[in-house]
Amino acid sequence: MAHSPLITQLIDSFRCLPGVGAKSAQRMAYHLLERNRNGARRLSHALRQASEEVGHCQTCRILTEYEQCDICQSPKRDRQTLCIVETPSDVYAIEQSGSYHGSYFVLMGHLSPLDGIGPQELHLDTLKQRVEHEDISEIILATNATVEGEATAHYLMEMLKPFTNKITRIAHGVPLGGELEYIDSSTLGHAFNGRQELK
Amino acid sequence: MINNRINLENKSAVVLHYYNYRNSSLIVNFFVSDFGKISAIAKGVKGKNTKKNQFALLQPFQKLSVSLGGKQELLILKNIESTSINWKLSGKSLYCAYYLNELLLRLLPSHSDCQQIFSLYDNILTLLSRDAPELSDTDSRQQQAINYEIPLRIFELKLLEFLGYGLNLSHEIETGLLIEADREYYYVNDAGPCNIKPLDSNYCPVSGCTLIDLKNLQLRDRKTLHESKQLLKWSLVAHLGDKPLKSREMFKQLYCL
Ligand SMILES: [Zn+2]
Repeated sequence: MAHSPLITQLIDSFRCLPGVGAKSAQRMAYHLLERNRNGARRLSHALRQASEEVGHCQTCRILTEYEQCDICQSPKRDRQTLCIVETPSDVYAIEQSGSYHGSYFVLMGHLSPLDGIGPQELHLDTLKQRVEHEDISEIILATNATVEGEATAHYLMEMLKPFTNKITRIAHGVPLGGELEYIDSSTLGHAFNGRQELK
Repeated sequence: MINNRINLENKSAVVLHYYNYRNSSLIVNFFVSDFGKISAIAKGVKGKNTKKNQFALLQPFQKLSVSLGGKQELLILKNIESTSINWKLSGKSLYCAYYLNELLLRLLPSHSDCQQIFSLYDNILTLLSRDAPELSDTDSRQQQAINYEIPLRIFELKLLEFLGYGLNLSHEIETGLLIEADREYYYVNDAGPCNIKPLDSNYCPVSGCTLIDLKNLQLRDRKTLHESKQLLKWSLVAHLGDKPLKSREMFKQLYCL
């Protein structure tokens, strides 16, 4: 039996979600229509409102419907430390770790020389202006440990060097619970290059 | 019926580029030593609880051994291993290496033995990954630029040769006479250096001295290096078409060259 046009439209719409295939999209659609019309209304309202009102924080470019996000507004955050990450999810991941209390800048991607994603696409001018005008004592480059993440970190280092005394790159190496014999050679190489003295 | 299945087992390869595919997979462009350019899907290598090890190996600029199989239009990566120490590239040398990858993505053939270019790529990346100390005085900076440029020019020259578009660096095309170092020539596409300025505009001016230095792979002189860059860039454009090389544009942006 074919679904009616509206149901088909709903099922197709669910498929834009990551990890949702034809089967689960159908299950979601029928669940909402059969058992939870109120939930469906709430969902559609929330989706509409969020997709229309959520934009980027003017200071750090994280997703928010306000001009400035919670982190940028908070008086408890250390404004002299700036951590640069690729995506908003990276901010949430670092926040969960509980080991950082400074401010952020979200690139919304990374430099990708073969895809033509360059400094303009990442709004690096905004970042440069911010670093020029604020009193920042340390910049932490927390781009991904991919080759493109490295290329991005290197470029940022060159660009921001004149404006601050200290630029650091997050360490990457052996994961917690990692056994050396199962770790790939490039990760192990990084771990060795970034070794620290025990005190 | 044509059998369009491909099976490559434990082949020497490098990754040229990859794209995200669905949630946790990648489409990877490989350069397989004795096969050329080929794409395959690497399933489930991104995100949480996945084959993290494979994602690390799929980063460009590592020498690998790969096994690929399946239908030609939808190959699957079956196995991947690292075979040697990785090239350590950073900064400018990393962007130069991206340029090599883009050239190969655009020009490398499929279904053909490319071992010659594979070992050239290996050599050039090894040259680029040599630790060049960051020096501040102007002379050393220029020396550094030359250190990056020479390997790139050699790669371009040999790649054109391999593709069957090798440059004529020995004879003048009208007279057949040997190139003379102190003469000026007009390089005509698909033909070679000419004494007389051609009527149409499709030529590249070049000195005899540069042609001879290029032939002998002696690119130490600044003028030779500059003219070689112009000649090779112009020759490559003929095969790359109108679409500019993105990595070259970005290199210019990044380093204001
Ligand atoms: Zn913010």
